[in-house]
Amino acid sequence: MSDPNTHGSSTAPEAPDRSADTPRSADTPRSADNQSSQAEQTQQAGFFTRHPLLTFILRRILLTFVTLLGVIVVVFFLIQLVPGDPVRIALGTRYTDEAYQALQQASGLDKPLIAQFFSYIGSALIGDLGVSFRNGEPVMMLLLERLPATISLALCAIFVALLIAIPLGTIAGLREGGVIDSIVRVISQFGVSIPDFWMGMMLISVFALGFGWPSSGYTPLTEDPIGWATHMVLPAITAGVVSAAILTRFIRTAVIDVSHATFVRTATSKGLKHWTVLTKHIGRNALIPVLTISGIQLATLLGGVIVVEVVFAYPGLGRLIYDAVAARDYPLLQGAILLIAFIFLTINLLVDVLYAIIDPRIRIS
Amino acid sequence: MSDIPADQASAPEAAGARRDPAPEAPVLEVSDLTVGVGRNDIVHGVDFAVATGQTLGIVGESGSGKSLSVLSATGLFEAPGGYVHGSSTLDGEQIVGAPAGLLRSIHGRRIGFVFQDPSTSLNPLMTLEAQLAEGPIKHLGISAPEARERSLQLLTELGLPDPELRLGYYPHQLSGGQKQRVMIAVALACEPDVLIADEPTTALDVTTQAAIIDLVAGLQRSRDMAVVWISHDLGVIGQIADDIVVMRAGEIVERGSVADIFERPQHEYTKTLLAARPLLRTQQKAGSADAHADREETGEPLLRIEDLTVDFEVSSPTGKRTITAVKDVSLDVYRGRTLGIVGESGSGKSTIANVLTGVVEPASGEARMSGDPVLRLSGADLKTMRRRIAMVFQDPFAALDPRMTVQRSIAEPLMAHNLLPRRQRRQRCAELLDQVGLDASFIERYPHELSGGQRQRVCIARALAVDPELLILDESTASLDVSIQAQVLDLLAELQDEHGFGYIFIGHDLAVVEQVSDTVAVMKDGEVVEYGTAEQILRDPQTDYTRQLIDAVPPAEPVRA
Repeated sequence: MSDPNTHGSSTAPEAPDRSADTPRSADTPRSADNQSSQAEQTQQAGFFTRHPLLTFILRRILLTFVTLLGVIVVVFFLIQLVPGDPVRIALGTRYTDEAYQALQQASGLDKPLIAQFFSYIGSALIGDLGVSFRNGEPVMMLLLERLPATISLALCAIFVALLIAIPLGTIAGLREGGVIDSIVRVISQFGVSIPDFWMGMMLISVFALGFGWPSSGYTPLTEDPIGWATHMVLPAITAGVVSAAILTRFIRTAVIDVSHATFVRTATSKGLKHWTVLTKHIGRNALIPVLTISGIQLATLLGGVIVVEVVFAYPGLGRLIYDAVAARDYPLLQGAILLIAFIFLTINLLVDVLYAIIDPRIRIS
Repeated sequence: MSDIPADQASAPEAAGARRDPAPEAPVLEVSDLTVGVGRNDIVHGVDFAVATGQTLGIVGESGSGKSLSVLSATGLFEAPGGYVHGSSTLDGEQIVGAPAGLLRSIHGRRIGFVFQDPSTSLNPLMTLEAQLAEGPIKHLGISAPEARERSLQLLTELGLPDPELRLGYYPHQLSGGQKQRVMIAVALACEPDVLIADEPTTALDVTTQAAIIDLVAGLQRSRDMAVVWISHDLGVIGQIADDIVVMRAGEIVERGSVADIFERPQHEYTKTLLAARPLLRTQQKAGSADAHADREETGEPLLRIEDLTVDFEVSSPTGKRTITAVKDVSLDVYRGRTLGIVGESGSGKSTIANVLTGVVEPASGEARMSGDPVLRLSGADLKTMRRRIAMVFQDPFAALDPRMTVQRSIAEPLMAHNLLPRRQRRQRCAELLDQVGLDASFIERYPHELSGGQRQRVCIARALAVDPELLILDESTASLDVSIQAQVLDLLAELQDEHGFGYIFIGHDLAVVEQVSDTVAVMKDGEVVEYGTAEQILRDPQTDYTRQLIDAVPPAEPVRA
C-alpha cells in the first residue's frame, strides 16, 4: 500500500458525488421522476425513511456518544503520560508513607491500569468524576458550581458578538469592495488582534474606575438580577468583542458567497423587495455556514475564557481549570476536560440538528 | 456599428412585415446601449427590438456581451463600478436609469427571466410553492391560497408530473429538466409581456433541451409574449427565433430574419457559427460526409470491455441502498478509432470512464488493454495503466490548478511517472503545446489568463504528456461554445490520425458524438441499448430512445418549434 494511488477502491462509494460536480450529471438515474419506485422504497424501508429528520438526529446522538467515549479514553491515557506521581505531588509536604498508602487506595491508583481505566469509564458515565486532590471535594460538584457563571457569561458574550457581527458582516458583504466594507474589515482586523486582557483592562479603567461599574465577581441571576447584569456587562463585552471580530469575517464571506448565487439573481428578477431578497433568500442561505462558526465560538466561550475570567476575577470554569493546572489537581483537570468536550459535542449536536431543520437537503434525502 | 450595412440594420422591420401584414410596435426596444465596468466599455452601443408574439434570438460566444446587453436593457445588471448608457424602453417606458422602485414593479410582473443553470437558479431552502408564489403575491396582491391555485395551474400547463405533490418539494428533489420547467413557471407566474431566456437549455441534456424549446414556443403562442432567447448555439436559435442578432466582442455584427441568417449569411463570423453547429452526418450536405466510412475495424481491439457491472452503495441519512450504475456492458475500442458513448445524465457513461481509470471498482466484469488486465489493479500495475489510459475532463476551468503555470500542469504527469529529466521537461512541454496548436509563449501562463478553448487544449496536452494509448474524453467539449468545440474536435481528429490513439468519446449530444466516432454505444439507465457503427445507428436506429436522441438534434434547416 505504499503507492498513494491505491486508495482508489476506498473512494468508490463516493463516486456518485463526484459525478454530481458536473452540471450535466446532477441527477442520479433514479431521480424523483419515478413515482412507483419511490413508493416501493417507502414501504420497504419503513420507519427510517418515513422519519428522516428523527433518524438523522438519532444517528447524530449515537455518533456524539461514541465520540464522547473516545474523548474519555484519550483524556485518561493522556493524564497517565504526565510525569511524576500524582499522589506524591498531591501530598506535597504532608508526605508520609501511611498518608501515601491511604490516598493511593482512596483514589484507586494502586489497582492495575486497565482496572483503573474501566472503573473510570464506569463512574464517568454515571457522573462520578472522582475527588479533587486539593480539597477532597467531588469533582462533579466543583464543576457544577462554576457552570452557571460560565453559561451566563458565554451566552451574554455570544449575544454581544452576534449583535455586533450580524449587521456589520451583512452590510460589509452586501457592499463588497466599498468604503463601508473597508472600514468593517479594518475594525474586525483590530478586534481579532486586540489581546482580550488589554481590552478588559481598558474597559475596567474607563467604566469601573470612571463610572463605578462592578469590575469583578459574579452574582447569580436567581438572587439578584440587577447585580447579575451589572457584573456581566464588562466581561461579556470583553469576551464578545473578540468573537464578534471573528464572526463578522465569516458572516461577510457567507453573505458575499450567497449574494453571488444565481438564485439571488432569480429572486431579484421577480421584482421582490430588497428586504425580502435579503432575509428570505440571502439570509437563510448564509445562515448555514455562520451557524457552524457560531457554534464553535459558543463552545469555546463555554469552555471558559481563562484570561477574561482572571482579569475580572470571575468565578467560571476557566479560572477553575487555571487553578487546577497550577495545583496539579489531576482529577479536577481530567473532569474539566471531559466537561468541556461534552459541551463541545452537545453544541455540535445542536448545530447539526439546526442544520437539518434549516436545510431540506439534509432533512429530505 | 460602422461595419453593419444600412440595409441590414433595418432587416428586423422588414422580416416582421413579411410575416405579419400589420406589424406591432416593438414591446422592448433597445437603442445605442453601451455597458461597461470601470473605464472599459464591454458592450459598444447595440440596438435591437422585439415585438409581441415574436422571438428575438441573440447569438454569440461567451464574452461577446450578449447576456450583459440583455440584462442591462432590462435593468438587472448590477456591478460595482458598472454603468449603462443609451436607451431601452418597455412599452415606451425608459428602463435605463430608472429608479429601483420602478424596476421592481417591472421585474417579474412585465418581464420574466429564465437563467442558464437550473440547478443553481432556484433557492435550495424554499419549497417550490413558496418560490412560485412570491412574485404573484407581491405583484398581483393575491392571497397565498390563490397563488397556490395559480402555481398549480402553471405547473400542470408546463407538464410537470403530479404538480400537487411537487409544490411541496424542494429543488434538490427534481431533475435538471424539471427544475428548468419550474424556473420557467417562476418567470411566467405573473403573465409577463416579455420573457428573457438566458441560455436556458445550455446546461440540459439534448432531449430535455428539445422539450424545453417546444414548451417555450407553445407558451409563447398561447400567451402572445415577446421572447428574447440568448444562446451560443445557432442551431438552437434557429428552432425558436423569428429574428436573429449575431454578437461578437460587444457589437452586433449581423442581424436579420432566421431565413436570412441561415441562407444568406453575410458576415464571416456568422458563417463560422453556422459551420460550427453540430450536425448529424445525415443532415450534412452530400460530399462533406464522411471520412470515417471506409474505416473498417481490423485485428485485435486495443481495449476490450466485457460484461462490466458497477454498483454504488449510496448512503443517505436514512441508510444505505445499492444502485447499479452500469449493467453488463461490453464494448471494444480499436487503435486509431473512436468509440462514442452517448446518453443522458445518470446513464452510467462517466462511470465507465471512472472504472477504466481505476477510480471506481467494478462489481463484476473484465477489461483488457492489448491483453493486459485494466481493472482491480493496485500499486505499480495501476500506475502503469494510468500512463496508458489518459483522461480529459468536461470542465477545463475546474481541471487545471489555478496556481500552477501551464508548464507545471503539463509536466506534473511526467514527474509523477518519472519520465523525463527536469532539463528536458520544458522542451517536451513546448512540443506538446505545439501539438495542440498553442505556441510556446503559453508555457509560463496561468489558467486564468487562458480562454476556455485554450484551457481545454492545455488539458489535452497534459493527457498526451505520458504517451497514452487510449484517451478518454469525458464530455470534453460540452462546456465549450460551439465554435470552440468545432476547433477542439478538429484538433482531436488530427491528433488521432497522427498518433493512432484509441478514443472513448463520452457525450450527451448525439450530433457531436456521432461526428467524431466510428462506433457508437447508446446508453440508458446503465445499459447499452444500442451498439454499432455510427452509420448503422444513424440510418437505422433500433430503439425509440436512439430515435429521440436523433430527433433532438437541431435541424440543419431552421424549423420554428
